[in-house]
Amino acid sequence: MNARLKMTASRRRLVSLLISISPALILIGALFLLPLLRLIQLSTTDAYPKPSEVLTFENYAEIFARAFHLTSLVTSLELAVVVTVITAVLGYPLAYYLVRSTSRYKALILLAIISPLLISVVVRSIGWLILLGREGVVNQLLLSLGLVSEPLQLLYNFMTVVVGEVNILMPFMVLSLTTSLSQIPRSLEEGASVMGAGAVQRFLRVTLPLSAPGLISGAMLVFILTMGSYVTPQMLGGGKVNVITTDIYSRMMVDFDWPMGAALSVVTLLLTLSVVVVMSRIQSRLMGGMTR
Amino acid sequence: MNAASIRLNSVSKSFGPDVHAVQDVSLTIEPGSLVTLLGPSGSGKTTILRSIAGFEDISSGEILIDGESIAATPTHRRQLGMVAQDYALFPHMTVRDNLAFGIRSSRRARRERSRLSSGQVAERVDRMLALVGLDGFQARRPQQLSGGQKQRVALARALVTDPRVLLLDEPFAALDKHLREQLQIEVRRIQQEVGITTVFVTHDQGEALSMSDHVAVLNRGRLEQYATPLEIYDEPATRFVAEFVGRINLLDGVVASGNAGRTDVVLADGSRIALEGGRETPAGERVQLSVRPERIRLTHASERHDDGLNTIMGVVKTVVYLGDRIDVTMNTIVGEIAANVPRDRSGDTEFADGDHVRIQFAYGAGTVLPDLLPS
Repeated sequence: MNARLKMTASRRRLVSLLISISPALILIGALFLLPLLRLIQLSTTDAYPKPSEVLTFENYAEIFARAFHLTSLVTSLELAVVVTVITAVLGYPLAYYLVRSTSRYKALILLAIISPLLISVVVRSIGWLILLGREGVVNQLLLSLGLVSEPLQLLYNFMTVVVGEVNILMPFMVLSLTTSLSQIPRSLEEGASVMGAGAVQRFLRVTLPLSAPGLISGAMLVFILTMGSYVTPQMLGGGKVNVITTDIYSRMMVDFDWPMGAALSVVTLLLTLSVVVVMSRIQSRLMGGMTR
Repeated sequence: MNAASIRLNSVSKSFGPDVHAVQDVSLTIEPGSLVTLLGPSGSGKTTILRSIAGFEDISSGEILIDGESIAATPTHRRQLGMVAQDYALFPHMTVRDNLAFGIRSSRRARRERSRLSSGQVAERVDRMLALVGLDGFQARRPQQLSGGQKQRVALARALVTDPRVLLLDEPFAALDKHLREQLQIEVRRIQQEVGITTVFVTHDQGEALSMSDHVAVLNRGRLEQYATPLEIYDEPATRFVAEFVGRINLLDGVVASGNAGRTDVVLADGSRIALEGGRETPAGERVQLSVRPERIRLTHASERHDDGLNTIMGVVKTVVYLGDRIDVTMNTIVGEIAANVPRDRSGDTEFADGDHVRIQFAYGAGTVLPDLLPS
């Protein structure tokens, strides 16, 4: 009797759940999953729109045979790793300050951190072009101070792209770190210091391990977003920094080799997905250890 | 065990220009004793504890441990142990690692115990857990412990580093009454067994009286009285102490004659009350006569009565049965008086609303407080 009541109750809950999420399911299914399946299917053909072969792995073989594609994949990975590390190292102290400080400028600083999200990526990249160009603010300053005799080439290299990406993605790192850090009671750090732990010990053995879940989710966000970013590498790399997204764009829009572009997309997807799976495994292990 | 003395010299702490959390507090804590900082919230008791710990810098005055100012010593070099209100156990570590944290992390520990093998660390941890009665809990995580167990782990963790001073910041606040009383006795036992100088912060006067060697009663940042629990209870120095510690009846009066050993007070209705002992008060001074409810003898007005006691007549307003005792509130011509009397089976102690009663207390049962309140 009781179990039956429970069953109906849980079934009712399931039905209402299905009804409430169905619009989202339909939207995701129609606009995301179907195109994704089509993309995978496209990647195994030899031509678009009129393929002569419908199941071939030529495209995949070519990706791993040609240095060009491999290089852009590796550059993307390098970029994602470097940007993730830099946002973590720069963002951590910032997030810590935001959580612990009682300053009245806290809100202002938070706004400054979030501000990159308020402006379009294109506009922001143009900002960097103005700052770092040959006739840009930085070069003119260096010239007028006599520090350099001719303008430096600050644009269109790997580091320029890194700077641009860090600028855009910092808020994602800082916000997920603050969420995690604000859940650590101050009494834990105080307790550690009473027990004789100096600032370094306190950080390494208490604050860092307890904020690791936030650090990892921040890192996942930044990594994914860097892997998928196109505008910043395109504008600040000036065609000299080839990443996977610019590669895909060229294949599809310049060569009109859609199957090749699709294959590259699938490879990128799998690569990003596997990194994310590993990271979330680590994260759930850490969280499990804390709540168990 | 190295028990240290603590000395506060006119310690003051202000937050901003207007908030004076602690004002000119001086007191000495003997090595090995347990001193309670007692007061309501905002009395400055926690601020003093946090200043000893080094979480706050005091605005003026000095704090000395074993005669040395600790102003320049950062928290992690002060060699303290602390139990925080939320216990502050590390959720990402087992009980064993929580205890080992202090042994491994302090510089002093690393220097002195550099030769300690992990086996010896484990042995110290085990010994300390046995002291608090939690042997066998080494591998548990804090989330798997009950409130009382967490509290014991926190105490063991505070003591395992062999600190000079133990700081307890309302450690029983989160526990239910029964467990609290049990742990109070246990903490006191362990404190005496280890012989460690202990500063204990609480707002619970019962806790303060039952556990301490000395009690410092604080109010609005000022030290009202620093004395033994008995003195605090029997001879409160100020009206605040009298009212904050235990329940008390305060009656307005004027001193008629005050000789050493005996003070006569005239109450508002003209009746005379005689008191023995206590401090000497000059005649003519406005005072408050204080009597604890349990010092009062209550009889029906119709019954025969003992002479040689101070007597006030009253009418019963409320009666509350507490099992072995009864709380009786009475209206009298000098104000409301509360009594807490033992109950016997004879029926002599059955009182009902509206009964006329004789309120009596011995000459030595009351004290005289200077009238500090503007009336």
